[in-house]
Amino acid sequence: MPKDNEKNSIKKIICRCEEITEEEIREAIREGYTTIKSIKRRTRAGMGLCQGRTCSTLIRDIIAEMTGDKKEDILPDSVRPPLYPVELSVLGKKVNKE
Amino acid sequence: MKNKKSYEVTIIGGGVCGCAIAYHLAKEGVKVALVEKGDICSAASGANLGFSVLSYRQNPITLKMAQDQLLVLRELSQELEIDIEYAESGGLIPITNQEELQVLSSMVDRCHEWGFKEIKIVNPQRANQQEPALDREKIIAAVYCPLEGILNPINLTIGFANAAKRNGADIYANSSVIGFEITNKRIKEIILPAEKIKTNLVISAAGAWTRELINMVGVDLPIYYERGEAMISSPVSRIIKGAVTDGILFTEASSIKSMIVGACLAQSASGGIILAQSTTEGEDYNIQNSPFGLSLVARRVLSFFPALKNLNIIRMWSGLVSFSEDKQPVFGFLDNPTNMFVVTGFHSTIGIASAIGNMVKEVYFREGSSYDVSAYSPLRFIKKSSALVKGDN
Amino acid sequence: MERMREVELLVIGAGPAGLGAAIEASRYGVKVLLVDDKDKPGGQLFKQIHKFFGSKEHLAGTRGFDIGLHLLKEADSQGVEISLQTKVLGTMDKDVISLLVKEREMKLLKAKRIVLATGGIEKALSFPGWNLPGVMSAGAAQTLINIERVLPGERILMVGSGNVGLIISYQLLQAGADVVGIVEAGSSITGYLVHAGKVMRAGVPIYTSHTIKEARGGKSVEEVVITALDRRWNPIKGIEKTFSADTVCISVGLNPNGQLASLAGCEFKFFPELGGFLPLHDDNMESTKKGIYIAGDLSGIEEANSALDEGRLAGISVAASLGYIDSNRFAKLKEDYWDRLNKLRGGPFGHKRSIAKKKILLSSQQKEMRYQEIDCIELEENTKLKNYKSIPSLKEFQEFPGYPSLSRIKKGAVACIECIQEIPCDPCVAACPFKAININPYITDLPYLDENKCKGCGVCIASCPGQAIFVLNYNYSSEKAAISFPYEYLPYPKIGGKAVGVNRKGEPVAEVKIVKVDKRANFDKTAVITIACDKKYINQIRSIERIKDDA
Repeated sequence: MPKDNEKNSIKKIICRCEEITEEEIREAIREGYTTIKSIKRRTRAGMGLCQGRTCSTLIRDIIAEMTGDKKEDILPDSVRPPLYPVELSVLGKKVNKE
Repeated sequence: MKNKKSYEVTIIGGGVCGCAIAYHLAKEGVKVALVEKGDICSAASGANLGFSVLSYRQNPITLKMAQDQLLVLRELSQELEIDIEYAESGGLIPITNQEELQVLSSMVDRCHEWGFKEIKIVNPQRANQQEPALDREKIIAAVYCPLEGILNPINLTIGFANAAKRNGADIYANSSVIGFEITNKRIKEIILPAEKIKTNLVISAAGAWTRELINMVGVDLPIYYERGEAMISSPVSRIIKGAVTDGILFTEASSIKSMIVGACLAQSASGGIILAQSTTEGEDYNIQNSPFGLSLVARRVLSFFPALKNLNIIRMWSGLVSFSEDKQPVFGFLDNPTNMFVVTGFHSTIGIASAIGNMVKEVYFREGSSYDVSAYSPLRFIKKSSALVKGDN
Repeated sequence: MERMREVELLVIGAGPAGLGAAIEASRYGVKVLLVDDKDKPGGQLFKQIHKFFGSKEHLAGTRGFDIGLHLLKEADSQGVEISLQTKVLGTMDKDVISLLVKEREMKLLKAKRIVLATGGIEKALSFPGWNLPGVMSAGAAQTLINIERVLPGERILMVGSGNVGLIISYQLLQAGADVVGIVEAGSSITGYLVHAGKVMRAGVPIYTSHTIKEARGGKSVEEVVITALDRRWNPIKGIEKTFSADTVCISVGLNPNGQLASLAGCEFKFFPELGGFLPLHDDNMESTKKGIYIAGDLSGIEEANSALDEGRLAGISVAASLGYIDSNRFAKLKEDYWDRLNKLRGGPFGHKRSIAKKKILLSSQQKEMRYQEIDCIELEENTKLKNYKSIPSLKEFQEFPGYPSLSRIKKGAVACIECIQEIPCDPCVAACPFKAININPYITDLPYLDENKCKGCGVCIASCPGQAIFVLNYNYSSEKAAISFPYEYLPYPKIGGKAVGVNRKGEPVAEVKIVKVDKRANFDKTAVITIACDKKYINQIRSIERIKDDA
């Protein structure tokens, strides 16, 4: 779990689902992780319930600011199913081939 | 004109293998380049459950590697300056029928023969102690190994990569290898989209892309890949203690048409439960999810762990895992070109990546190898195929 | 082995774009399955309680949710199969589509054609304290008040002065909350002035060149701090305002919701004018993945009318591709829809989007863009949008053709149209029984008032979705003038009672008397209130202070 004292300090959170701060993201960029996907792997930002729908454009802005890359070249993360959370019991039901 | 960068060693493949090798070499002062066509840890290494496996290592050599690695894993977070979230919380293989029991008892016996005593067949009650959420009515026995556990494969891979960089390695991410400049049976340069780099030694750690990469130097190795699917839930309070691997995966019964399905699970440090796996033959590097695979996994998981029925699944993915024709690892030099070294097909690589990195270092410095890996040479495939073909290759 | 169902056309998303596609495709014989994740179809329409802009074909002047019901009826009557609470989990191997129905059941199916109409999702804005309870997107607040009938809070700061922020601020006032202010980082109001006019008349200040600095509070938002920005968008130290507030609504734009399109393999490109990364489409609305069509906000953030027309176009393209419409007929229908879309995108508000849409078509055809660039610069010069930091002055309104001359005002009751931006809208034209209002030749042209034909009957007041039409009766009595204006707040004032007349900025001007409260049914819940005041205020008073509901 992320460091507790860092969470309690008034640092601006970028990924609300996983509570990843702006500083953690900037640190990852400084380490050389300059794509949305690699920042996700390095920090967990975008791995939570909303799967990056909220934080991804914010992260793009930070990458653009720090690297000078154009926003159009900072590609979104890959999309995977399920596009909505699904309960394991429902997933495991006998599948109806509609 | 910009001078071409020159490296003693270039590693192709930024998964856990490539990154571990980069770290172990860079640590010793070797000038290393790591080339990866996507992001670091973007393929199989990022897709797996993070099991540290001992019990079902296929042979005594990799079993010994894994055993020795335990000491390393326990200190690796400190060494790599990243929390690899290693938890030696035990491994369990639930057994549901006599066939599984037979196969797995033999496996346990073999482990004992190979000097690994900390593994045994336990009764359902004991299994339940290891995994309280397991429905012990569903099993007749289980394989239990207290020294197995789980870790975070992404942090591990990134940890190796970061540590390699700190030790002077250069990482070329989002750089596909387009080709090689070969003179007199030696690779002189590697051609990337933006530049060419000079190197003395090339190490292929390219996983599912090994065959394609080696084809670029005129060699064809029987290295294939399968697509393994997995999914993860949103974080929940701790309910799964260690690594769980379905006993059915050790028998033919796990095969449903052309898909192999079994229930494997682990709960990550952040609380999400990773559930796997449905495996199909790899084709065209397709990493889409199958329509049924994870549904079958879900059903199987719930038959063992009914308490998980309300888990919210938030992401599904798949990884392409390489394997060689004889299912044994590949570790060794090609004979033409002479300066290409191939590493792949270890299975459950995550737990022994550091050992692999160290072995490559030993090869590089011509130290004696800690393990007898002579049987893993890729030449075993080339010699075989040249025996079938008349004339020169 | 059981064969998987294969539908002819699967439309994903039952907002205006999806409904449009389903209606048109089914009209020509395609069997359509329309799915939506909500329990009511209509997408954003059901949250829209205000009257829509546009033309007759777009049901302009009708409230959003009524448009939704109307489209739904049309789809129903054409035999469109509608499956609600149906979430598309994704496209899997071999083009199989996985669905989750009512959270209980998984279904798999295949489709010959797919129309993706998945809409847009709101952009986030991060600032210290944005993760406190009480901070939400404006759309979330709108769902709470218009669907769930729950106030998100009592004192609300709105961030963003685009149409979404302005409209939702207005609806929050209608729901009984106080909007302490609207902050806009840009130097001018970005939404339509008529929407800004409504909220400013209600006393809500709009702070341009300002942004939210911080939200503070213990367990939830208690206070907000806004800061002024310089020309380089940097906070100006020392110029801050603090408000007590319990809610912050963020309305800084939308992104196309391209998740499913991306998963299905459509090619994306970045167009900031249309919300960011979006899937490319050709002039049939087909994406780069054969058989998958897109429409609505997914293809670029615009508004409901173009969503509806793009949906209809996608629907007929699907029908044509399946052989239900012959190529000549299809060409004519397609031309008509592009004509309508171009008209909607005409005028200064649409020109950036218009250019971007042209670029999208060219991208999908992989054509050279340089020719179009020249075209676009010309377009830009001709339709420069004037920037406003606030409501224009009286003098400015008087320069436009909707404002009656002083001499005509002195002759007696006459309409006064304070609509000075070129937006695609014309219900006032049809509303006037004397044909005194003209908007031509383009729907985006400004309304022209023929003050000789106008009798001051006031029927036009309730027809204007922008609430920008008033009736000025200088000669109500020897001492008093009467002013009629639209009013959509409860409680209504009592006839014969007194109220505080306010000007365009919501500033109190004078005490007025309520003369009439016209609630006739065909005004569709826009009451028209007539007040009597001193004649000197004829050009100033445009509304009254809202009456606080004590209940």
